Amino acid sequence: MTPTPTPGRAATSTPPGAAATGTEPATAAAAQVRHPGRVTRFVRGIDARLTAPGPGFRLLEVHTLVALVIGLRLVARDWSAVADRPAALTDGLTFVSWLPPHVPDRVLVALAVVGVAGVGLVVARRRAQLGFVVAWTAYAVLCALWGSSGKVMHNDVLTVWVGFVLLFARVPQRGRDDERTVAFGWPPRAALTVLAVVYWLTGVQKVRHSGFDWAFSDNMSWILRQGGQAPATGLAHWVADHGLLAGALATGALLLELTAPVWLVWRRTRALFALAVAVMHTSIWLFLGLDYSAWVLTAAAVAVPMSLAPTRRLGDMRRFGTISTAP
Amino acid sequence: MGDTGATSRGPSADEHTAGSGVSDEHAMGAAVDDEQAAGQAGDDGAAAGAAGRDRRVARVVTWGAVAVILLGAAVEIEAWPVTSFRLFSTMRTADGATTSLVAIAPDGTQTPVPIPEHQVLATTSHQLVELRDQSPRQQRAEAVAWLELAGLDPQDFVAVAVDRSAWTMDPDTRERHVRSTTRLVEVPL
Repeated sequence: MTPTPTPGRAATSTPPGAAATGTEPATAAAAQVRHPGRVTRFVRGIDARLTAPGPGFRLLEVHTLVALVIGLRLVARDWSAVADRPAALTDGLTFVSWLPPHVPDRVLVALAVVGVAGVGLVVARRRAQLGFVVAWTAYAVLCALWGSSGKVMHNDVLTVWVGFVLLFARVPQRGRDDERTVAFGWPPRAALTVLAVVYWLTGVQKVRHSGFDWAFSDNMSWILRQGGQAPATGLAHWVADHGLLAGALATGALLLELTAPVWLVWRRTRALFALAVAVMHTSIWLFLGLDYSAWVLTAAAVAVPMSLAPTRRLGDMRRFGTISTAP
Repeated sequence: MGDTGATSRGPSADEHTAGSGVSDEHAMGAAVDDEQAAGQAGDDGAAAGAAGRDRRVARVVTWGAVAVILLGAAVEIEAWPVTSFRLFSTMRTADGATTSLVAIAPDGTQTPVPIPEHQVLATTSHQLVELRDQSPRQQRAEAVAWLELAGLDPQDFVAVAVDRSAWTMDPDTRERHVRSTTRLVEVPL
């Protein structure tokens, strides 16, 4: 994590001669530029890490994997179900609230198909940027319509936000994967930043509204007892009846969320974070029946490629299998 | 949030890619005449300009997105995808409350109105509490919509009502013992 001197930083420095006016503030300002405070150094360090050049293949990996997550979500749901909701029961503020309250099923299915076609363009590396924009837009619109029933739905919101920053990514053309530029470097890091902020916020909101009692009381036991139909309801009730286990589950989840930025800032712990959230969301699905698979897949799509050494491609992992199966 | 290697190699890598191979030429000791040098300087300037533009885009997009996400959570805005990210953030105890819809026949008989289990339709139950705040016309439209979703004929009923039942759950049997039921609103059909 060595900070990178940013070529563009000179623009923020005091121009030569500016400090020569003889005024104290100017001198102080010049001194601050020469000896920036901790906060300034911290901000500059983050900025340098965000905007450092990066390899084209890493952007390509994250861009393609997030597009595939979007594609999977687009094909996994019967979006025409939105049309079954009467117009009078369409409720909730979303970025598509301006649309008519009832959208015909044909439009919904067509939107999903167009979105999947967009994912196809990304995977085929033909107009990949346009393909991603099409896929993301279709997905975000469909999710917003799906969730316009009066309850705020979070199942796809992480993927939508991570995908949002990738809308502005200029993916490398064929043959330029090994080039390292600023344009290729920042989008995967921006996706990582959004991932960290979202997980951290889910933890912060728990502490904000419930304090640390969220983890250290019998809160988790009651969550498990009051959950709906789930694949492992019996196990959930068993855990609920063992306060220590339920407390450990809650503490682990809260700790994971609050420390998400720490896990994700270090390259070597990013894959572990993806694994940890997979365990957490799988337990939520088993115990409560809530599907947060999009969160798991998005975390993996961003964190796993970004956990690899800067010169190693995701595809290189296949070599391990080749070596191990060789006679 | 950068890769260790990427950041440590930053300046040289940047020059290498943005500078169209200038560093390579210097390393090889290649002779560069004035015209070529002038062209090279132009390329360097263009590349540096592109890198600067990319850095500005990176800052605007990344910090813009982070600012919107943080603001949405701080102010608790719910304008999807801007959201407060409140996932199970409230404490659960043995006490809870359930809101339900009942249809009232002309003879006073009350029939529970089931709400379909599909996620898109099931989550409309979150609107039940807000029904009392709607205009009479919207109340009736929503009531009719719920009856029809449940396969009930609105013509068979004179009103629908929203009841809120406060309950306490037994930790051993997990049965909910209703303590009290309050009628939040009654909508004539």
